[in-house]
Amino acid sequence: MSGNQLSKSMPSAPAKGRGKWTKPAIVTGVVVIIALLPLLLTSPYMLHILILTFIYTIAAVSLRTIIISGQFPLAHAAFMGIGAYLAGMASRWLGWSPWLTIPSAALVTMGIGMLIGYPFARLRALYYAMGSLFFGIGIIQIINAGGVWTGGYSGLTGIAPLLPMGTSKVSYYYFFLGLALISLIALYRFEFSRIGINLKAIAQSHLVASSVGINEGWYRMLAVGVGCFFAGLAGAGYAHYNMVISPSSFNFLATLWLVMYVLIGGVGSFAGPIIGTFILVLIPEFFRDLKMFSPFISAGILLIVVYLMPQGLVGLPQLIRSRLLERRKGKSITHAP
Amino acid sequence: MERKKILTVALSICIVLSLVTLAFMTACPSPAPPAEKTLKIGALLSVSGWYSVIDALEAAEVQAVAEYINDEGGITIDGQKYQIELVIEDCKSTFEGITAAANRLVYDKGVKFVVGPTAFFSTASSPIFEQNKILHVSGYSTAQPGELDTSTPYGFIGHNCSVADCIAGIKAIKEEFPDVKKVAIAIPDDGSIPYLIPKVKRALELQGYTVVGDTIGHPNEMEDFSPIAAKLNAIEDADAYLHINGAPPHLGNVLKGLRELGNNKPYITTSLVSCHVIAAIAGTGGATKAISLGITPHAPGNPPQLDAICDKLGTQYEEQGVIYLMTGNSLWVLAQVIEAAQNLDPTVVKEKWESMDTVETLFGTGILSGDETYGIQNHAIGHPMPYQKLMGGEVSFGGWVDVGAIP
Amino acid sequence: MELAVQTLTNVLIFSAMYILAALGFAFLFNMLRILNFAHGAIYMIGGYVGYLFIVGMGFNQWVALLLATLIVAAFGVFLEKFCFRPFVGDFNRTIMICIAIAVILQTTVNIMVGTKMMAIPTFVEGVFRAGPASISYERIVTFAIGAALLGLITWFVNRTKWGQQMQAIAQDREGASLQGINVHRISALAFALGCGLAAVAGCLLGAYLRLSPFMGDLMLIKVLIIVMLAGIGSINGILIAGLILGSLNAVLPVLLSGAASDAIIIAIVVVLLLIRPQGFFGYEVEI
Repeated sequence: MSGNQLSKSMPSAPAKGRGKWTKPAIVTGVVVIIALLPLLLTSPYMLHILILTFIYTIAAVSLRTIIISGQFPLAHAAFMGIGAYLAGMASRWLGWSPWLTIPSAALVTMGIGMLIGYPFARLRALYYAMGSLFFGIGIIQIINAGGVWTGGYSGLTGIAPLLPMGTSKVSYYYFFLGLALISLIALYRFEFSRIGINLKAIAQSHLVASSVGINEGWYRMLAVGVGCFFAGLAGAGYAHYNMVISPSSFNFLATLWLVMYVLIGGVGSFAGPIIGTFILVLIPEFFRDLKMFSPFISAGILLIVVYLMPQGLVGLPQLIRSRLLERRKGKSITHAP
Repeated sequence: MERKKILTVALSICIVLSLVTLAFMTACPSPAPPAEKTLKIGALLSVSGWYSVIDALEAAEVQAVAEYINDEGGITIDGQKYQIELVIEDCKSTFEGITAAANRLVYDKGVKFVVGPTAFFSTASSPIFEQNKILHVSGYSTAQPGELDTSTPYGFIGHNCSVADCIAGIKAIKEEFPDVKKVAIAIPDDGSIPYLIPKVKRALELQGYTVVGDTIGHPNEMEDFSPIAAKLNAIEDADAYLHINGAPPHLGNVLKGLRELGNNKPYITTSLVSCHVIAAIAGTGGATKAISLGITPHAPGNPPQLDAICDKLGTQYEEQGVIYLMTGNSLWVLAQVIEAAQNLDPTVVKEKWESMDTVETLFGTGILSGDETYGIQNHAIGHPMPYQKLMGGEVSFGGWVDVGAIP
Repeated sequence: MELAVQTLTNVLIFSAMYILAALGFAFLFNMLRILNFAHGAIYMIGGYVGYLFIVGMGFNQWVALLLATLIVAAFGVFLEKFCFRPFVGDFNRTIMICIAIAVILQTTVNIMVGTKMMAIPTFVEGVFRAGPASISYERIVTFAIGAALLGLITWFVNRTKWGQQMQAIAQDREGASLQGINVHRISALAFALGCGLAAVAGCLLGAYLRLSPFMGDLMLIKVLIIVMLAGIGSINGILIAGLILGSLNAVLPVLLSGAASDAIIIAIVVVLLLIRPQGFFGYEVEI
């Protein structure tokens, strides 16, 4: 939760025997496979699910950007909601083009995030988590109370589509794949830039970090700002893709599920939230025919990760390797004379 | 040692979960290919999540209606009989669930006709259906933009909408409490107030009632509705209270709160919530002098098809206290119109639907109307509606009211 | 006038209702520093177990309340042993297991009885009337039990040996263990109490309000608000926090129409938290 805890859950860099090109090769391979998927999957329904996954990936990874600064926000879906509603309302009531609403909604969300980040910078650890949780609920309540402007509890309709009506899902697929890739690259660069390293230092110990001249308050605000920018981007993209939005998509439970995407993937690695989102969105969707029983699938995934994978899903290869090593060692001991 | 224990627990949990899944999957027999031709009709219902309290029952009802139509010989087009093959998709009570389910119905299952989802949920699925020219028939509407208007030429309502139910509620007051003259209104604030309330007020005035006090909008989710009851109680001029679009928790708790305050004025709900449900929540002390729209099986005046479907549903009414038949009625109406159009092309069926004046519903003859309310001709329906009375904790059948054409 | 009197009684009743629902959560949170996001689901299970005994098996209401409390308390011991003890001090995995438990409980209940709308039959019939005020005995009972349990828990934590051992664990788990306190047993006891309190709330409010598989979600937010306003480590603060939340929830819907009241309630809570992050009686702790 606080910095100490976070550093505990981050895996120490393991000594790997792999070449330095292994990682980029895997990443390129995965991206190429995903980019070629529309050739294999002819069903627009599967493409729709993947588009949603891309949108949630942006949100989950940006949530992790805030988490590495040692804060644990529980309002991320609400920030997505701010982006979605700003874009949706600008499109519905002002008639702005989606190409204008999406970036401006993301920027305004960033501004709101940083403004909110300022008073919230006083709060630490659990107090921050709870404060942001209540803030997120407040946002949803304001949307609920928005009457005609936000459409209230029933949602806002009549948002202009991103691409002209009748565009195939494949175009949307590549648009959101591109958006996700650009966002992920930006967030990756951010995390491993000087700012990102300073953020991790603050997470380790805010006192030590401020003693070496890191302006803690400013950096924390910056992390929230960057996280909110991409949350707003994801939300605005979602609004123009779906054309209808409802506050229930961004409520307290949605936030908790976003947190779950990050946690089951593993908070210690950049790939964690990406893997987590894909697992928790796609697998329950495959079991949609279970109807009433389908929530059990998500719960089952959570249980498996909690009990068997202490580092999250990204820790799985390492876990298997160490298990194998242990077994080999155990064997050699028993075989010793 | 500790790790082993955890592993055992985790494994056993996994095994139990997978067994449950397996049991369920094997319990659903894959339908044998029928000899006659089949017509795929999709149904969007939230079988899991918070809305499942209504939609899980609706799923059973839609199934029963489909079976009934099939038993009667299915849909006949040019002498060829078509059996209805119902494809129910789970909407998970979220907008994401609805869009995913709608995409699956349209692209994976290739359906051309869809019933559901209910009320404002239908805003999420409409864009997908409209793009693909799929005829979609919702079971309810709260008259908000996006549910049914000029942007949804392929959208219909196959059951009384909110406005029609208000008219039914008002007519039920006239039948049961003829000395009521002034009415106060309560409604959940789900965004429908600016659209619905003017229409309700006009309908009330047409029937000779005066609306007193401000419209009391209340949050959709509250633990305790006694402040709302106190507010209603404070409108002293009111002879009766009209609660529009209330969900069962709203209705039961507001009624309980009113009676606790010693208020004994009639309380009328215009939602399709059976009085049994209201009584279950309000308790024996609170459940009196209330009217709600709802089906009573084998009541006098029930059309034969309604009774037949109630029989098909078996003990649902005794066990759950309620039969909704919103989406079920939509399916029935859709089947009637397809048969009238003698065609399986959604566009032809849509044009036929728009040109018809009346259609046979499960509740009797319905008048296609709603031009002014929805800005689109003949897409809504007004049909007779039964109501129930709640007097001294006892639920009884009240009677039938004719809604007629809705504005 | 009548509205004002009613609102005043509502303030008291709402406060008692929220305090009752929050007690179990606050107890676990203050004693073991566990943020039990499954509290809402356990509260719901308590209500349904009570319903099963009262309506399904025809037990006396108060006996059923006791039985439901015991059963859910035993379930709490099970949860502590298998779901929380392995992850002590690991916030991330604790929150994940809480969500998993909540989803499993909600889905199970939803599959079994989800479509049936119900409420537990009232514990006490009748309405007390005095001038413009009228309160049902049921609400008085809810109020009395809420107040009594709050007093009892305060006494338990501050005056009994077990309570003091729990406080020791809250401050320093390892230190307490070194002093010869059986940490596991005390944790199990705390969980039994926390879940038992949730079950009492579930039964009473299941009669006063209604039962629904998802009733815990809404209550959980109110519970979190109370606990944060009260401050970590403070059982006494719950009284004040409960009164604040109760008055806001009872008064604002009367003054305002529609969904705006909810937004204002939460805005006030956020501002209060920003002014006093550690709550009214709490102290800042690192979790």
